[in-house]
Amino acid sequence: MAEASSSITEKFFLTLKSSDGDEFVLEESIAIQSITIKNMVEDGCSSSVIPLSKVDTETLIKVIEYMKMHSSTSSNEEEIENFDKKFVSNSINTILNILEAANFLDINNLLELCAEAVANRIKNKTPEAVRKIFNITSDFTPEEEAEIRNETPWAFEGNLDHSLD
Amino acid sequence: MKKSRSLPNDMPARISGTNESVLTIILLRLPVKSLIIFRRVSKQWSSLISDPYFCHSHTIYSIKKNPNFLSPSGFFIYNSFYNQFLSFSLSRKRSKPSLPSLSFLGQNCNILQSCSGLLLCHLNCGTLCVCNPTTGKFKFLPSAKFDGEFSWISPFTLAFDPSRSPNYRVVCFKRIKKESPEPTGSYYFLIYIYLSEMDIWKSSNSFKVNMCPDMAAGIFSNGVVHWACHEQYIRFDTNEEKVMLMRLPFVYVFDREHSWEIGSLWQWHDTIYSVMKSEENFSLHELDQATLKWIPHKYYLASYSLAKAAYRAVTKEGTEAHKYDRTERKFSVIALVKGDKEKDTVVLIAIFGKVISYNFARRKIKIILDLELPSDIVRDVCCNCLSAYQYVQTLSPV
Repeated sequence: MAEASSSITEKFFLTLKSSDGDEFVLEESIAIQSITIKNMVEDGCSSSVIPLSKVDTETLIKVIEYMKMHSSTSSNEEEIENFDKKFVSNSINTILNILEAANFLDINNLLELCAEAVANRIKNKTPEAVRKIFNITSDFTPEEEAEIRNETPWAFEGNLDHSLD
Repeated sequence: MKKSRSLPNDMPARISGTNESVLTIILLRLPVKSLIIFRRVSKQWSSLISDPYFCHSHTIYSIKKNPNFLSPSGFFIYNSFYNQFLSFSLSRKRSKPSLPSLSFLGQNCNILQSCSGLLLCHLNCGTLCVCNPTTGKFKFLPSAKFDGEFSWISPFTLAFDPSRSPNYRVVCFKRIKKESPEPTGSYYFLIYIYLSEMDIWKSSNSFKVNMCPDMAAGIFSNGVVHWACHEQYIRFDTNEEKVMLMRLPFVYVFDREHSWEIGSLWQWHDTIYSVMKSEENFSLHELDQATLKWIPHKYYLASYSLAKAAYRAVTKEGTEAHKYDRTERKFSVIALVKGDKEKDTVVLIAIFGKVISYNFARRKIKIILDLELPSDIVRDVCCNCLSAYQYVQTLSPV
């Protein structure tokens, strides 16, 4: 851990509060991987608790796990790789929650990791399954949808994956 | 604290599925085919996936992730005897994916050339058209106003490199009269370029050659249009608009009797080959882009041994026996597929009514397409009527 350098430099801690009201204390140097938090710290808004109204507790725990693993001093490349691999094996719903949190918190690496994972998970799915995963209601009429299908019939041949995870 | 994983139906749509910037980050990472399918998800997804800026970004991102993204995934085979397109995928998967149908082009349309995912087509009425078979989108080019008294014009060549620009060029050259009287044996040509971003034709440099070119369609790679005619090799740099004249590594011998096909150029991705075929042999040279020298490929095909091997491969498949004589030996090499390693490189050959792949190094034959021809026309079709066009799957806008 980062013990050696901390004997001279004082460690700063931040408190992050999830939308469920749970509070997490985190070293500032780790938390500022989030550009959103970094900006708040620089603007001097971090003296008290930082409320993250768009991130629930379950997601925030995962995001903090990620930031701890990816903070520069504590982990080697192989560990990070294994961690990432395991990280994206969460359910697609969880990954989307994390992705949305990463977008809000502006953690680019995490956003890209999740986007890659989501793309991998949905690439062989049906449009219907994708709609359910993103909770999107189709705004096409059946005729409009058939028209799109008829434009590129070759793409709709073969088996697609109907599952939601 | 544990929350339910299933979302009830009255929940709002996810931010990641509706916020354009977040959704774009996900969509950029999807394969082309998935995106084509996901246009059905919603109007927002459809309009985002069809957006020319997104389409171009997707190609750029995909090339960055996979340098072979622009490698062909299949071929369209045109059979001029029946005016019919066939296609096949190069996928190694057991259930091979279908290629897009070209039926949207209609009956009165020829493919002139395939370049990095776009096809340049020629309609019977004379209009040129650029299309992307993957998206089914096409665009008609305005007709060029060519000056001068000669009607001779070179084949049109599409120049498109999405890794450098979303815009494309169509290039051709036309015979002009520069000096009067014309020096004997010298011919002048003026280059014309179509600029897609401005939707106009403009004239460029002129050049002189010592014979009137009689040539097949050009090809494009690394910013250069390549044409071959007889033993002449013409390079046109589309960025600097400069012409360079070189020679092919073959001596031109015109011999209709023995049906020499000489001086045609082929490409696979960025590699350029010149191909020579006689009745007895087939050989190819690869262009070294740095020195502009033609390097002989170490493999060549002897038509006798090829025909023998192909005969064995075809009859093993249970088709009817062919008379195995000199005339049946005729074949045409229609395309080349470069493998990851040199010994994986194969040529696609039409012979005995089939398209087969022939691996030079391993001397292995695989039947990849049955042309389903009546036996009386098999030989003619296989020899003269087939052309192959690479299929590259991209979303590139036209």
